[in-house]
Amino acid sequence: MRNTGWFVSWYLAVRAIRRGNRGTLALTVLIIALVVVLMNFLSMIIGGVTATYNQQMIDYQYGHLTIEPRDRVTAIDNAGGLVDRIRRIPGVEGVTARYSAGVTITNPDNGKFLSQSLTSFDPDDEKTVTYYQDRVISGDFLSKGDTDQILIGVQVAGNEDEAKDKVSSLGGVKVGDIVQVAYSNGVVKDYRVKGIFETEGVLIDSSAFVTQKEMDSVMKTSGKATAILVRGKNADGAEQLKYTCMQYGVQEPIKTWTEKGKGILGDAINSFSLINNLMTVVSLIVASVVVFIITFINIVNRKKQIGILKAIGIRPRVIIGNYLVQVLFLCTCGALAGVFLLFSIAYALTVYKIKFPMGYITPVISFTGLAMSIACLYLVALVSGAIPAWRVSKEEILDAMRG
Amino acid sequence: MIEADALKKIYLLGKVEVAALKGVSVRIKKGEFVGIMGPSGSGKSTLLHQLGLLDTPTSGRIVLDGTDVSTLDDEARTQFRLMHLGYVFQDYALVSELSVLENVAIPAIMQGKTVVESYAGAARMLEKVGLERRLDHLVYELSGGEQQRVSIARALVNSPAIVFADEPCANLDTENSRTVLELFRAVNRELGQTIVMVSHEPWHQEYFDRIIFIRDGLLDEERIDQEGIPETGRRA
Repeated sequence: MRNTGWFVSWYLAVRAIRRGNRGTLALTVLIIALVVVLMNFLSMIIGGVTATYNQQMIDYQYGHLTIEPRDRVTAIDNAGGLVDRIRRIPGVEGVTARYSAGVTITNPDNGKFLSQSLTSFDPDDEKTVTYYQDRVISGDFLSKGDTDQILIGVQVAGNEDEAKDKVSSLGGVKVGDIVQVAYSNGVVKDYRVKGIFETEGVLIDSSAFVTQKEMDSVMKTSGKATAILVRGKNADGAEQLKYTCMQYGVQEPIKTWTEKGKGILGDAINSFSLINNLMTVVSLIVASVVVFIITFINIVNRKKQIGILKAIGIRPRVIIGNYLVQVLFLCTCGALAGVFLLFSIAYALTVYKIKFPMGYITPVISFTGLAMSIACLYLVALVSGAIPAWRVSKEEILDAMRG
Repeated sequence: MIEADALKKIYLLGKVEVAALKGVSVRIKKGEFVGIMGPSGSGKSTLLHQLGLLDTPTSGRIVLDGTDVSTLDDEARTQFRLMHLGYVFQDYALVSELSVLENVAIPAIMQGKTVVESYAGAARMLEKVGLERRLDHLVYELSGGEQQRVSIARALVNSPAIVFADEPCANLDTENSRTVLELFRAVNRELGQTIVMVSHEPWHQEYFDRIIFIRDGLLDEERIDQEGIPETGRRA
């Protein structure tokens, strides 16, 4: 097989790399690796935050689908019938009807109080959709027949030392303690704290629950629900499940977990993404400048050799190709080292987790994002490498040979 | 055959024009071993660079082996250099990252020969210059004389029609210079290649078939024969 210009480029590049300065090579690879890490680190953390937040939304707040009351109606009537109907829809794994009411919870021991919503559910149904029962850290989960008992989040219970609280709390309520709940209809009732749960999500741990039976007795909400939560087989199938429910005649508005979650964390995610994009651009500029400088120094040092190659009949595009192959090699080594470094950091952060308001974060690497960042890196590196190579290869032979 | 008519080369040093060649016409026959000689700064290297397509004359016409190279674009000139010309430089001009064998083989590889063919040809050429035991060495591991012999082997590997040598012995001692010159003469005799060499050493004259004398960017008029061919110095 006859050689092409690219073969000669490759031939020269391989020898330049093999016999070049190892220290410079290692340093360049390290810099490119760090650029790869920089481009992906924040998005990895954002990915972790999003994944954790999404999982918490599904597991504790909205299920895969949330069925809401129609416009200008505060509650879904005949919720029990609707729950039974939804339960029979293929793909539905669990359904729970919830009723939320605004209340004031007071700790009579210290007078501290919180104005918030109190949610009721059928504990047996709730277990099919959410995982509160697995998150009880003290006491027990509610039972279907429970009255005068309340399940509260760890943030509601709080600490006697206020400084330890992340949000306002009742100041150190424990299982067995009595709290007073004042409903919007004027009823004031004492409840024994049956259990305290902790999900690690500050917002979720700021909620409180009673049984459907208890809420019905106080607020006369029998057969009503402010939301019906549905769990399907998996989160990705939520959209499909939504249409299935609609096909089965559910006329109330249905929102998937993604639709419900957009408003709350969406802005934060957008802001994070903006910062991430800026960091990516800065990283790419750093990478292109580094590759440019390295190629430029490399070429200036070898200007004479470029002149020699041109003099003996090596075409300028072959010389440019030689440097592009070297840049590709550097990028490939840098990208591989960067990916290794990134996964090492991700692993370290999985073992030594970092805590966010929604709990401990496990970094999530987006393979699409990683591939795109590496593709961008290759692009800027090739351009940055080609420019000095092109400039020198266009120089007069004798000028280049003088160095 | 090399024909150059009215070659001029003017350099710009800032705003000052410096005429290195002021209208030189030369003819060199195929198979000649010609020396270009003259005092320092006379324009002998400039003439060699123009003839060897390493530089572009300001005006004038050059015909190499029947091709009017003055009309060729940069790409075609590069290709012409690769296919028809060989070069030996004063400072050897070897690629430091390539081994001795690779340095010699690279023009052959670029010409389209396979690596195996190119290495075989390079090895043969290195054997001819007495460096068959140095094939895998890097160039900095060789002496100056050896490096120049590598440079000669590289210049000859594609069997070019013309070899241009720009003061190839300038950095060598007498013994190594003699080795190099004898090598050139042997190549010229055995392979019939045209060799054009710039030199300022009077004792090199004994190796040349003919000498072109340059002074102040012009051929030395006293040594031009009636046909306009530089003749003085022609050896019997």
